[in-house]
Amino acid sequence: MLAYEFMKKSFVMGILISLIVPTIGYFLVLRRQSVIGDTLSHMALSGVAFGMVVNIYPVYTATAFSIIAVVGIEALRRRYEAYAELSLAIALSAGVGLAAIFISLGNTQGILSYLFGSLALVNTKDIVMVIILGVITFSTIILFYRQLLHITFDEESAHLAGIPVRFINWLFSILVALTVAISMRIVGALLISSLMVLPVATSLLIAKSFRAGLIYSNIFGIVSVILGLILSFYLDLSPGGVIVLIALGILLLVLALERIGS
Amino acid sequence: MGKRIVMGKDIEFSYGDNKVLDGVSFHIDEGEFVGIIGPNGSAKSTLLKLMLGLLKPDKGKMELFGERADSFSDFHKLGYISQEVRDFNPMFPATVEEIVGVNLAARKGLFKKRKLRDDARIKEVLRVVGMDGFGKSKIGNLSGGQKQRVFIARALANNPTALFMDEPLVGVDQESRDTFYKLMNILNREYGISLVMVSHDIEVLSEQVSRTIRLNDGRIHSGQDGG
Repeated sequence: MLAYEFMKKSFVMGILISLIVPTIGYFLVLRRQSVIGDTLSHMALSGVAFGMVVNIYPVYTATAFSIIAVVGIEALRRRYEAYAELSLAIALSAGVGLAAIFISLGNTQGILSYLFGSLALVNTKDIVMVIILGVITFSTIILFYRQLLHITFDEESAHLAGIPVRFINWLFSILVALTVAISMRIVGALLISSLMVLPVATSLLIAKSFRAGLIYSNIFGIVSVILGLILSFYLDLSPGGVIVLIALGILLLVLALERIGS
Repeated sequence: MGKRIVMGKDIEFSYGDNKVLDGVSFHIDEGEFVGIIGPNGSAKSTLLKLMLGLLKPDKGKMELFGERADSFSDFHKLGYISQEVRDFNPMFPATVEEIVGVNLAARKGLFKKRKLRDDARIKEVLRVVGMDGFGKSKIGNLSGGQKQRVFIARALANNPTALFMDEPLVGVDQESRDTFYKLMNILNREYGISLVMVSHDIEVLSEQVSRTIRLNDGRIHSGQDGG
């Protein structure tokens, strides 16, 4: 399998993504913001379609669109303070609407592979982007680990402890946008939020500490992605779909083991 | 009389058209244990948030340690226990040590050798609140009263001059309340930490504190010395 150049690239990309996506997802889930992954992936999809229409590399336009979405969501969140989740629904609608229009403008035949992910698509440019994303993500998490934990756990008291909550929230939102746009190449726009949530959901069942929760999320993520890539190669299935179903399988297995154990 | 910790002058505050504070003036000095009491909806928590600069008054002046409260930045001087903490999600994956340690992050440089000193500080504050030996426990598995003490330990980790608490005793049993007040007395008298506590439990709090600020209908009604 690894004799194929594109599979080597997919594996490198997959392993990096399986570390980045659940890490970002871990903080999102604990802050009850897991839906944002879904919203941004729709926006990123419209970015892909736009890139295809105007002939710019789609991952670049997807990245730009998700960052614009993050800024828009934040602005709307202030306007609808009591109904903050409405800002996500509005951005999601914008994403779907724009995607539909760009797709109908033509020259978007390749869009399906961005919806469900594809192995054959991965090129060196993508790998470079994912490596940069990985470096930014993990340096942010390492540098701001305690601050992020504090904000995740209690934002108000984090502010009163002198943590620059707004700055860190912005930095983190941009990271989410980058993660969605860059990872959708292999996992697919429709499934990216699942990879953000499922390994974390499994991890929460067994983690006894914040650190352990983060490590378990990464382990479940990496196992799902590696097994998913292998199976999707041999069975000729969409990698995103297989990865997500394996992540779901692991969750059900841990739930069942927990039941037997109790 | 000690230094002034909080000073509010002619404070007005509204939520939309609903004016909840209407010309409130008061002060809190170093070394005091002040209870802010009043019925539900009397804007006690709002007043606490104004003191901490989490909200900005519509009119009037609020000072914290002599600085304008909404631009206050000397955060290590204060510890805060919010109401949100009480409704803490039991599934949240964190140990007692991790929760107490978060407060140590803000005042340290990024690459200093801090692990050892921090570990010692975490152990120390857990001992002060009577939770030594619980460092590795998952916070969600503790009782209401135990969680409460962990949050106090977290607030103490920074060595604050004053501790602000928003309804810290809701959902806590009687025995834990007694332990709580004993601890507060130790913090106030032995460690010299000033305490400001919001509660709707007027009777009990009045007996414990050195002074109360009684809120009703947007005004302060006869603050008095307690027992």
